[in-house]
Amino acid sequence: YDDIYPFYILQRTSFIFSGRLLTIILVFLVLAVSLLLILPGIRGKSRLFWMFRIIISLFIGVVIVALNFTNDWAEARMTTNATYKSFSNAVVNAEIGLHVGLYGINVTLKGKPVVQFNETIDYNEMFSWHDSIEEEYEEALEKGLPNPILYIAEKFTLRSPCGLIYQYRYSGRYASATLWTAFCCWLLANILFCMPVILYAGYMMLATAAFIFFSMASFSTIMNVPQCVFSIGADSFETEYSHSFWLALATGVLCTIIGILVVMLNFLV
Amino acid sequence: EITWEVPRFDGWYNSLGSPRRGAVGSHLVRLVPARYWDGVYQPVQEPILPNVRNLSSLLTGGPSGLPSTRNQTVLSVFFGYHVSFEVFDSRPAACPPEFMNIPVPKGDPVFDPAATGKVLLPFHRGVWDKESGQSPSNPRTQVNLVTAWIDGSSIYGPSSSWSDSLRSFSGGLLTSGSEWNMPNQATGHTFMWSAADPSTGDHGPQGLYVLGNAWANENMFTAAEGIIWFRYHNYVASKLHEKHQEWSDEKLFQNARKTVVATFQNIALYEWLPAYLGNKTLPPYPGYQKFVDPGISPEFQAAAIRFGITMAPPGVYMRNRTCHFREIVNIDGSLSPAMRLCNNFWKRQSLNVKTGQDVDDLIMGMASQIAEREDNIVVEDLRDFMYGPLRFTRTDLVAMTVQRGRDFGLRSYTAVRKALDLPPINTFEEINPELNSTNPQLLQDVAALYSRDISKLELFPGGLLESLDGPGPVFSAIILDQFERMRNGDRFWFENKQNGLFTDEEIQMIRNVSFHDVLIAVTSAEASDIQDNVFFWHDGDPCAQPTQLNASMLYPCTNATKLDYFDGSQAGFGIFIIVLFLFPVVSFLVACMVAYLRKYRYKKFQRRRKAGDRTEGPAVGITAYEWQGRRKPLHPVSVEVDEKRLQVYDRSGAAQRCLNLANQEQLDILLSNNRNHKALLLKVSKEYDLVLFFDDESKRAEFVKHLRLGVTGIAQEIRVKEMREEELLKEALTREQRAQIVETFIRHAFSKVLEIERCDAGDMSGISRKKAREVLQCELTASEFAGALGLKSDSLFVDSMFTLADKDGNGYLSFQEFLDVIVIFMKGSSEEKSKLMFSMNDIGGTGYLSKEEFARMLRSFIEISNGALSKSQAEDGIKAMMQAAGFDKKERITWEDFHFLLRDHEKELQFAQLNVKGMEKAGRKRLSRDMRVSFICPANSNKTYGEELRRRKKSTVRTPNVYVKPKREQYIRNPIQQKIQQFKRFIENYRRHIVCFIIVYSIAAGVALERCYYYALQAETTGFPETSVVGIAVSRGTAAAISFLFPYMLLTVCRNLITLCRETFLNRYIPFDAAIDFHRNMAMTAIILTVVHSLGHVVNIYIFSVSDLSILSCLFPKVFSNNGSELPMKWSWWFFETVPGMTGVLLLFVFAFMYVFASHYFRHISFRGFWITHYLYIVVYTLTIIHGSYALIQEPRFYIYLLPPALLFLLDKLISLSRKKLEIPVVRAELLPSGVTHLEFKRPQGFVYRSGQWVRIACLMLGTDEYHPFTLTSAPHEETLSLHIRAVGPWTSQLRELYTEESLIELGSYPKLYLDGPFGEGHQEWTDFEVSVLVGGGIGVTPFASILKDLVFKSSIKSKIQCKKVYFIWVTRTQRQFEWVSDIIREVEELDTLELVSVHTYITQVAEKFDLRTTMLYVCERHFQKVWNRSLFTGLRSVTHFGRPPFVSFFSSLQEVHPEVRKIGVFSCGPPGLTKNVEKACQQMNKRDQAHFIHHYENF
Ligand SMILES: Cc1cc2nc3c(=O)[nH]c(=O)nc-3n(C[C@H](O)[C@H](O)[C@H](O)COP(=O)(O)OP(=O)(O)OC[C@H]3O[C@@H](n4cnc5c(N)ncnc54)[C@H](O)[C@@H]3O)c2cc1C
Ligand SMILES: NC(=O)C1=CN([C@@H]2O[C@H](COP(=O)(O)OP(=O)(O)OC[C@H]3O[C@@H](n4cnc5c(N)ncnc54)[C@H](OP(=O)(O)O)[C@@H]3O)[C@@H](O)[C@H]2O)C=CC1
Ligand code: HEM
Ligand code: HEM
Ligand SMILES: [Ca+2]
Ligand SMILES: [Ca+2]
Ligand code: NA
Ligand code: NA
Repeated sequence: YDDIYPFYILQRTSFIFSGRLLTIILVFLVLAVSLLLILPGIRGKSRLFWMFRIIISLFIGVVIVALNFTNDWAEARMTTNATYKSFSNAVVNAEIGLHVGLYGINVTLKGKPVVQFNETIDYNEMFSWHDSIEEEYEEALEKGLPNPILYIAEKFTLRSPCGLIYQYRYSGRYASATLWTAFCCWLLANILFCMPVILYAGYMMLATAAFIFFSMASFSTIMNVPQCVFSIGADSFETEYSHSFWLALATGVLCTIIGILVVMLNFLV
Repeated sequence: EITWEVPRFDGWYNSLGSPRRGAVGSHLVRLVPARYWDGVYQPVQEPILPNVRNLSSLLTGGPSGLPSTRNQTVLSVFFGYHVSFEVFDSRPAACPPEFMNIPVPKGDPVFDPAATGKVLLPFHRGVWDKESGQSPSNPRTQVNLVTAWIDGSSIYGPSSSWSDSLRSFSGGLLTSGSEWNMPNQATGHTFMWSAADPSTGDHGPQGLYVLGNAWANENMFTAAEGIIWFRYHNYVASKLHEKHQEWSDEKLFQNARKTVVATFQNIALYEWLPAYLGNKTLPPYPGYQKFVDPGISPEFQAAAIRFGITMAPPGVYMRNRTCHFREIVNIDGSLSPAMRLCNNFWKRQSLNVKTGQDVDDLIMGMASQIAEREDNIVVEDLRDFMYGPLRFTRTDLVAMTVQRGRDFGLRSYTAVRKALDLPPINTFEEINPELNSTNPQLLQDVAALYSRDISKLELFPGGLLESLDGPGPVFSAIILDQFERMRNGDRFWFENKQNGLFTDEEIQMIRNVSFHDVLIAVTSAEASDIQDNVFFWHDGDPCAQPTQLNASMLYPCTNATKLDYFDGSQAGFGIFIIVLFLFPVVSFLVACMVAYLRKYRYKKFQRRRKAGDRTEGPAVGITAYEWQGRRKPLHPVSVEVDEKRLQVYDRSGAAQRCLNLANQEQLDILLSNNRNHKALLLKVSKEYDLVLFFDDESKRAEFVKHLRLGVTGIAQEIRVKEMREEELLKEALTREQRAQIVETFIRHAFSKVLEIERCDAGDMSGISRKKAREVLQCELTASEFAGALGLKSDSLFVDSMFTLADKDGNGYLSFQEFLDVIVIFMKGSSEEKSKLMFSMNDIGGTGYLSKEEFARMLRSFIEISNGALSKSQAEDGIKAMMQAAGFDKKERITWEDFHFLLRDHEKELQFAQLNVKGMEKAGRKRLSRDMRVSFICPANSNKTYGEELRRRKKSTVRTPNVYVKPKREQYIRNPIQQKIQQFKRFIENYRRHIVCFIIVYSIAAGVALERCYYYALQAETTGFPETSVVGIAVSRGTAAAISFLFPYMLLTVCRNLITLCRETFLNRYIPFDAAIDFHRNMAMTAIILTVVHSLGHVVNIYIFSVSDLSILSCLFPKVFSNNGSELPMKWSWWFFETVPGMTGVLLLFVFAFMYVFASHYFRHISFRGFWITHYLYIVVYTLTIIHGSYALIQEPRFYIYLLPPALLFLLDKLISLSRKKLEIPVVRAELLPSGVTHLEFKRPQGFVYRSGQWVRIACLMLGTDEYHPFTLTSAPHEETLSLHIRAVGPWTSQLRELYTEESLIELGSYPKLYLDGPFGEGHQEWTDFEVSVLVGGGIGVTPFASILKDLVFKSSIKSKIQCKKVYFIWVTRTQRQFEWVSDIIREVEELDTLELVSVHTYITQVAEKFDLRTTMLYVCERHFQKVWNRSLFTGLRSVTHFGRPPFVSFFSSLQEVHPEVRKIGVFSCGPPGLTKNVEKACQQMNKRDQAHFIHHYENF
């Protein structure tokens, strides 16, 4: 014992990974493992087929659920010199990121290097517009988050002349709703695959794809609002579609292909 | 790089200890505690304090044109105004909106010239902190929406994004508009406050300048101040840019910004403030004081700083550099010397200030113009013509100011004085001794308003009265305090050396910049064009104003206008509501069309089938059209004359009418001589006339020729007459007319025979003499006679009877002949009757019947039973009967023999009568009702069915039960007790229904009330209750109930789950039989609630479209932001451009369709239509989810309600789907008579069912999506499944067609089926009763076929069942349907060794009444049965009855037969009428306290 409580970490831990996402992935992994465990009981070539089937299906499922909680449907990032905090004229070099999800945004600030003036500059702050982003912004102000984060978050408040929030909120809301619908379709498709009505499973797969595409369409309406300037220091950035969006597209296409294959096979055979 | 700390735009973190101080959204800081009426938030108002408008007119009324005593310029006034925007803004309305509207005194010359006394000046209460204002120690505190610091928030906006939206991001500049020195103008969406221009009504954002100060566009003059500072920023930035080419935009911007802000601070505090306050000045800067709160005090904001309004001029001059004062163009093109203040509020396209140069001229004008005097007088531009909302475009600024003070809870003048440590004042006169000497009346008047109580005098009037060359001591103290705190507490104050903003030299430089310098820098003016101290104009300064402006020199203020937001919308709104109500009508019309189409197609199909049936070739003869009466369609026929007969066929070749030409004495033919000569009338005596229309005259001529040829042999005369077609038609005796005559004839005959009053016999009096004679002369044809007896005209019985009656053998019955027969039937003894019967069949009149003749007679009876027996069967039967009667040895049967045969049935015979149509009308009293119910109950006795049962039992081996007459007295009690009894029975029968009903509906009511309560009483903070309490409570309450009902309705149609649950204990608690009834009930309730919901929202939408934007933005903060533009969305926006509106309207449309097609009527007409439209339920659920998804009013909940039942429903559907798609081969198909098709098909694996359950099938050949329900007629123990399907409509008929042999040959094999089921059914519960009665009507026998087989099977294998006795009552129209049912029944009878089943057959369409034929039929049947122990008709052991079953007597006898049984199950299935009768009978029985009849039924 050296005067230090062993479990008290002195530094503020920076954001690592969304807990919710972790849960989702773990749940699906457990499912996958338990399903794959029964594979040895299947004989011959169909074992391989079943393995693919389980993996692909679970992949689609986990993607659909996870996409609801990811924060990189659209992203913007830049590295710039920015004023860092109040009561100081310090300017830091940092990477500033805006990550748009369906329920809100994450703003990240990562120093380059991470430690400057003995401070660890690594922030990932979530602002959700589910309830009232106004209040979250107030809290952030009370908390005294670094300037760049406040600057970006402020753009998403109701009082901001940008008016982003009006569009983002509904785009995200409907994107997420259609995504959940896609998830229901996926569940149904899986049930139907286990019944002697494969054709319907194919249709359901197509419905899943359709809802994923609707979701993307809904989200893409955020690009309709007049671009609001995000300018920090001497630089500025614009949001662009990012991983989740493209992942959604890929999953949608995958579902479409499976759906079409199943339907075609059904009509051919 | 920027080396100093850049101040934030929102004022946060200026103060180290309290980061929030002075920031956007911070509290106002009171100097004196608040004074609210309730100590918390309610303002003190009239009558404690005077009416503010009264006060305003009295205190601030007076002439304009008095110049400032200290020669302050107008520029100073508007600079001050701009400074106030820099430090505070609480003007936007609070949420939820609260009103303190100002009542205008009756007859106010400006606002109420018509003296209505009803005018109100709208007043919204200001924004306040939601955490305050709940209790007295923390009374309501207002908040400030801009920074309290002087930090350039009026130049750059109060937030970083605001400033970003002003920046051009190049060269550190702010974006300029069309001219480099003018700011951008708004185009679309803007955050600038954009109220309407009161003088022109312009509104909308177009043309407003975009600046840091949200209110910049309020008037042209403040806007000019804003533009100066905008220019100054760009000026400084470009200067910096010139000097530091390498600087980035950000650096340039921030550097320029800090200089501009510092300059502004310097000018505001050190140049303008002293000018404004006169001699009073701030103490020198003591350095940054960390603990000072810069918070704006309400006393400053709502009173002190507003001193400036007394100095506001009625207009403003414009001049150029050379002292030329510009003429101003007014709205109407006339010219004035200056811009009128009241006409320059919220100007979009100002005629006079368009360019940068105009702004310069305006600034120069303002610098030359002397402001109004610092006194109590306020110019009418502000007092009477201040801008107001569109609703009422003018208001009173002074009144508003005082009212704002009340809103803010300001203390009184004396209290503030005290708090500021100023010497107390005790009388009104002391306030301003100088004013008291010049204008004592004013003080007197004000005192009077405050009832001479100085402690009541409010701060603003008090401060205004104090003024002497400038603000008085109170206002000055407040203002000084405010500015001092703002300066001293500001870490970023330009003189604060610790903030690292400026060096000492820079500070000094900034200290030296005056507003004059700024103006020179950014306008076209040179230093000498404007005096150095721009806030004063002294003699000798450049460009003196022409004269002190007064209002009369200017263009008059435009008057207030009123706007009703709803104007022009009434018609549209009304029409829309009407259209909504028309939805069901549209749907109804569509439904009618569908019904018509369906009928049409089905008819075509039937016709085609009929045509296919016929083997004969096309009709022979001459084609024509038979005219059957006015307004009747022409009937296509073909006519042929052959051997004295005129045959009329219909086009398909079926004989329709045959006229014996030989009977006619002469032939009268009428021909038409107009209209193409097509018509022909053949007069037929004693019959209706034949009227024919031919295709053309030649055809007619041909026909006449044929006729002539046809009658030549008989030497008959043919008389041909020609007349006009109309007359010809009038001449014709139509079939209807003839029928009427015959009817009167028969009635007349009866009235003779029965010796009853003529009037009772029918209305003969109304008939004219001629008609009466016609009637008496009338003679009946054989077919009319048959018709009167309800028999076919070619039946043997009719033939015999007719021949007997037609004494003169002329082929017609005259009145007398007819009378003679019926007299015997009506009044004769049994001998007479049997004699009649005898002679009827004694064809040769030989006095005895030959064997042949007797057999013929029997045949004629059997024939009446509609030929249920085949020829050989009939012959066998007859043989057997003759044997039984011992006639087989006799060659001749005498009347005595014959009568002996009937002897057993003397009684029946005695009462046997001829049943003739119209007899009921004759009102025979002797025929009581119950004589007709069944053949079994002899007419003259009240014997009930029980006795008959007993009798039957006697004849079999069963021990007879003692017959006990129902004890009537047992249930005749007093009516109240009877009612109670009934009620108890009702509860007993329906307790499960009642409980379930109550549970479901109380949940619905509960969720509805919860929402109603919430929105009516708990949702004040949302603002909805204040806006539209009834509408919102109703619509949200009903929405909640709908949200519950629609989803949970799904449970009632989960067929598979219900079938499963039936088998469990749940069956004891939930009445699964009533699921569909429940479904209907819930749907109806939900639909009614939907209409109420929509009406509630119609009210809401009306209210929303008359509420201004400030209210709406409170209610819907996620949708609207308040920018002062007031105008709400139109009603059409709500209905057609919002998610709930659009989907709501669509939903209503969908419901209209679902509802109309689901109505009993249309479901019957087109089940397919119903089913297809019913599938719109998917649309309903989808739309309803979308409907709530926008979360306008609250977060959606519908999907939460939907999820659980939807999952169950889905499961149910999946169960169906899992077996529905199996193709099932048909093993056997049989076409049975009466359109019944018998299908036998393979039993799918694992198909387990109970007898009485049903399945749904689709036929692959008839489309795979149309399923029809049919009851299984196979028993569970059988290998295969079977159905009996009656062809009633399109699908069933087509199905039958598919399984005909021809189509089988075509198809090669039986078409396959899809099968879904089995589904549960009340009938499967027959096993739960000791005694059950099964009543099957028509095709409704199907469940029982299965049940009976099952029962017998179970009893034969001795499986344990409760059943002790089953009565099966089989009601059918004719015996035809019997063949297949009787197979089943026969099977049952053979297996039923324990006599478990007792079968009773009721044949209803053999005339049910006691007439001769049925009597005879009965006699035959009985004989047959006696001998063979089988029915003559069915070959069954069961008893056949004729007529409808008497349920009540049957049930009551059951009670006697089974006295120990407390519960008897009654299961009925068949036409609705039948089940209804059974239900009624059960109810009647259940009123008594005996065995309980539990009825389950199903209608097909
Ligand atoms: C539980 C149940 C058991 C039945 N069992 C038998 C049986 O054993 N034998 C038999 O001959 N008939 C039975 N029926 C009736 C049979 O379903 C209809 O006669 C048949 O569906 C008529 O179809 P259609 O198109 O030929 O006639 P339509 O003229 O379209 O319909 C005639 C009548 O049947 C009703 N009907 C039509 N289609 C349907 C449908 N898909 N579902 C329910 N009702 C419909 C209509 O409301 C109308 O009243 C049963 C009905 C029910 C509800
Ligand atoms: N007009 C219509 O709407 C018709 C509808 N249908 C439908 O067809 C289906 C089955 O038809 P089907 O098998 O031909 O049935 P039927 O119409 O032939 O009726 C079957 C038997 O029930 C008897 N019956 C009818 N109503 C009563 C009553 N109120 N009390 C006592 N007995 C009664 C009939 O007697 P009786 O001959 O004395 O009426 C008949 O003997 C049902 O859905 C029925 O609704 C069938 C025919 C007509
Ligand atoms: C207007 C009153 C309504 C009536 C009279 C009515 C009547 C019926 C009837 C008689 C059935 C059973 C049909 C059969 O299986 O033979 C049925 C089924 C059904 N109804 Fe209704 N209904 C009404 C309204 C609604 C509404 C408003 C909804 C949903 C929004 C709805 C949803 C359903 C569903 C889901 C089924 C089951 C369909 C299936 O089995 O595939 N009904 N309805
Ligand atoms: C013109 C007609 C209608 C209008 C204007 C209207 C309007 C509205 C509005 C404004 C809401 C609140 C939505 C929110 O908070 O975002 C609502 C909720 C609701 N309405 Fe309607 N409505 C109409 C017709 C209907 C109809 C026909 C139905 C029948 C299904 C319906 C069922 C509901 C339900 C169930 C909700 C609650 C939704 C939820 O909580 O998820 N409305 N309606
Ligand atoms: Ca004045
Ligand atoms: Ca005669
Ligand atoms: Na400010
Ligand atoms: Na100049």
